[in-house]
Amino acid sequence: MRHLYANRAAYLLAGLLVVATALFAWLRSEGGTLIAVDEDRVQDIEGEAWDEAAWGPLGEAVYAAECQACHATLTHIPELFAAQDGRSYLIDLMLNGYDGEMVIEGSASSVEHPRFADLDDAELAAVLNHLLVSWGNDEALPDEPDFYAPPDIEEARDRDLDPEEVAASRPSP
Amino acid sequence: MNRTIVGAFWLVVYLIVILSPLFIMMIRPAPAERSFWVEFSVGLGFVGLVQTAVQFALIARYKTITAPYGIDLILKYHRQIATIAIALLIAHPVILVIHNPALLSLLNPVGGSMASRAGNWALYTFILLALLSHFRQRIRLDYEVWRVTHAGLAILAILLSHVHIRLSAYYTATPWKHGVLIGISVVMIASLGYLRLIKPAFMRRRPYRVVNVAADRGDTWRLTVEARGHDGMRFKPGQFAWLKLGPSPYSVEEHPFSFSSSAQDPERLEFGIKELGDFTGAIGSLPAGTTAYLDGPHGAFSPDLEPAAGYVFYAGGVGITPFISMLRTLADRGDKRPILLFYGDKSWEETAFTDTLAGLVERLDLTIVYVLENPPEAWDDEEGFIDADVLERRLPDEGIERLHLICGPAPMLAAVEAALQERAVPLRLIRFERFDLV
Repeated sequence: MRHLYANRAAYLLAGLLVVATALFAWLRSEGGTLIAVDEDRVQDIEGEAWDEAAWGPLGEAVYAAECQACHATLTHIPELFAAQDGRSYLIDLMLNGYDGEMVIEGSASSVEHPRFADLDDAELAAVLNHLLVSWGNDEALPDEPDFYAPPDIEEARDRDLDPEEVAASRPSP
Repeated sequence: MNRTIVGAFWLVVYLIVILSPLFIMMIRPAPAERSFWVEFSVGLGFVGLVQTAVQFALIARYKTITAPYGIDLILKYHRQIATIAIALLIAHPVILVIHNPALLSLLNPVGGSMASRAGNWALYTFILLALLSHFRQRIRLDYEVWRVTHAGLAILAILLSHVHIRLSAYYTATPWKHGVLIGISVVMIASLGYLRLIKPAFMRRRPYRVVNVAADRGDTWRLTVEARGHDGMRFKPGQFAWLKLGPSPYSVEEHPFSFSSSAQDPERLEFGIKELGDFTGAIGSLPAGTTAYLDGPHGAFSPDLEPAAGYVFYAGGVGITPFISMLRTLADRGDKRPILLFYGDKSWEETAFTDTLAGLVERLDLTIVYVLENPPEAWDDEEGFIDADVLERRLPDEGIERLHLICGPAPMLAAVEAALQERAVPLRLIRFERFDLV
């Protein structure tokens, strides 16, 4: 009898694992309540102009969840931001990813960067602004910088570039 | 404690562990949501990985965990669920590629990103592991070599999986979550240390000495060991132990054998061993005085665990061994309950323990029905196999509910089970023990 139960238990468990994973995937993709960023907080920020006190926590949270694993500090951001078309290049990179050569500290290497188009406009704007003001980057910014706002992101989504096109559009400092 | 409660407890712990990655991945801060199929694929990857890591705990022979189910079942479950886990791991990249065919290049084991390469190699290692286990006997892979390879490949595959997760760095951006995932793997793999280092250290303090090796019919040996300087092993009749021979309890060479001696004498233990391979083939030339170590007792196939008004035993070949232990124990205890034994084998010349059984008939309410495939001339017992016809003729028509215990090769178990169902014996009264444990 033990053996009969055991066979059933193995099938039952396999089924349970698949169902539980499907439930997890549904909650993560459609569930809404369990996603990364507090929807209420995003709602509050939507449409507001950049203000570190209001936007900082959202930018920081997105950075911790999405970027931190690969990026420690990004101190070259002000330079890119200030270059010709640099501001929109950074949005394109986040929305479409990057695939191509990149010169890092003087040497060229092949770089792939994932796309983060699944993030909200507000989340992307917040995280980009977070890059602009962290690690002392704010000292290097131009005067009265044009911080990112959600409509900038919304507008850039229509461009729909390939990662290779993004790489080709990288401003040379 | 009650076996059912302990069993249920460990089942709950098990479920919590194997589903934990899914819970953890949903706790904030979590990365941005992706489409259903991407999340489903990644979820299968995590669940599959934790499930493979848990296998180390399943095979570590923790008695408190295995006792409620019987370790034979746990080992069988290990084979089944590990195969399922690897199937889930295979589904992980397959679903990603079906969902987005542009990712096909990531399946190239020498191309793609470092993350995808590590993932590919982990998966190939897992698949190799499964194939080697499945075809071990067909490709004549030495059992000990297989065992070491099996553990090595498993650790390598889990390590590569963690490299893959670290480099993919999606769900593990939060350090504590990454820590939990790594922690599960480390704790599980540490079970191997328990089985191979800690357990042998305890076994070292409880050595046995081979005192007798006697040949029986049917290429069967009766190996007797005696406890040296300790009180031996208390077991329940029908249980078994892993036996290691030689001076070191750390040796990888070990095999499970059923006790055939009475459980009333824990200091002098006998095993019934059928000559089948290198290890069992060498038993006969074993000098008396050889040191032996035992890991046991294991198994949940015992009348002591299932009181009944009477028993019917069904033995196929060397499957008689646990029943010999049961009968000797019951005889030593002066048990009065009725026992009917069906003992099937190829021929009378191959039937072991017949002298022992003849003695036991005198001491117990025991009836023996020999069922021989090739009986000698002038045979007045059953001929052929233990099937519905034999049961029809020989099972008593009585008012008591006997427990039916069956032990033998897989086809025999299936045949007897079918025959019992034909006789409308309820499943709750039937217990099996499979002999091909590993």
